[in-house]
Amino acid sequence: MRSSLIELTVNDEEREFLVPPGTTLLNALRDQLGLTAAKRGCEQGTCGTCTCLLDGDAVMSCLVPVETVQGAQVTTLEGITRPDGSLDEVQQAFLDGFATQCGFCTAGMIMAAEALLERNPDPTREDVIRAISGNVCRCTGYESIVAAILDAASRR
Amino acid sequence: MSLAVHTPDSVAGVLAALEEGGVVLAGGTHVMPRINTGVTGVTALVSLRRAGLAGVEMLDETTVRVGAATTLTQLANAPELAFLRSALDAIASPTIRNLATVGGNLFVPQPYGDLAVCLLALDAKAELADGRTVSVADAQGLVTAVTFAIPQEWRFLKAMRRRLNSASIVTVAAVLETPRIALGGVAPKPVRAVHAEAAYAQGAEAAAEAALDDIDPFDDAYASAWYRRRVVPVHVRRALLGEEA
Repeated sequence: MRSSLIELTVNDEEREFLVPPGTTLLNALRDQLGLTAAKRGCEQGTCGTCTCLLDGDAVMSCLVPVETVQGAQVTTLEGITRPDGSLDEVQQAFLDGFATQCGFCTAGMIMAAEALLERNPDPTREDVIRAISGNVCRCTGYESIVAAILDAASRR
Repeated sequence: MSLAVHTPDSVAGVLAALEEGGVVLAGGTHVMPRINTGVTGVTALVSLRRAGLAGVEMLDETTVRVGAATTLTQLANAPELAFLRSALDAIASPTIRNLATVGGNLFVPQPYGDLAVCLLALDAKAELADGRTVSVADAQGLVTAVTFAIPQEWRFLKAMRRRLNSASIVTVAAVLETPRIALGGVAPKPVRAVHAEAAYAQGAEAAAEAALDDIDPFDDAYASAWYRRRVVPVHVRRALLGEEA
């Protein structure tokens, strides 16, 4: 079967690339575009480590065939870092609060937090817990993650 | 194995692609996990994303029509449907609700499908692509929309293993003025609790006990059939009385 030409705006940059039919957004980002912050975890929509923003909404990118989202705006963790290479508030708060541990869930956690803070700049602890309820941290470091997101909200 | 992905921009286009052996892809939250295991035998997906099936509209003051490809997040954000928010909030996580659709929820296996339980209690109708309108319990083929009346007295309760992002042990949805009571998590499909509805005239306690005649519970990773049977009356009573899970 022929490859498909995909056009997406990824981290504010227009990208055109070919994918084999049936490629997920996650695999397109990682394998075609070399953006490896979003992780391939369960590929079942259960772990959340592939979380990206699709037209501003946090979604599990392993569940989205990229051919279904032609023309969409996609933001990954790479697009959160400022053009001068400095970290944004959420990234800095995770670093300062050691909210990373092994780091496998971190990209997804930060993207879920970015989606939350975009809509709700002053979240409660309960709001934060709800926002990351689809993101699993197998180090079980949730307390420091919740604290970092609240910290980021206060810095912004 | 190669997987074709079609993105038709009309219902007619979706039907044509399905004729050729495709599987409907709405939010993908249940289809894609299976696809990603690589052992499904599915050779083509037909996406509803561009078929114009998303949106919430009021048909009159109390009747609402929801497009089948409306996401659970879009549904929760509809100002007229505030009564459904606690039910939607109990389904999975925001990252799933941003993809998962109203139509898709009618087809997910138990103990998922809490919105389908709500729609059953609301006596919602499913509009099918073949032009028929049927009860949501009989939805099949391609669903294009669901319609229902906004209730006066609504009850929803879901017992789960965790407070967030967990499938149902027992789900209760009820419209009190009718009354219509629907249960999830306690039978192979969402069920109308007809015995409980009949007994409700004698009060919530009577309805709760009668609900045992409406269920056919199963064992799964969340709870045993034994446990579900034990707690159904408790949760039905609490739901009808407006108490917390």
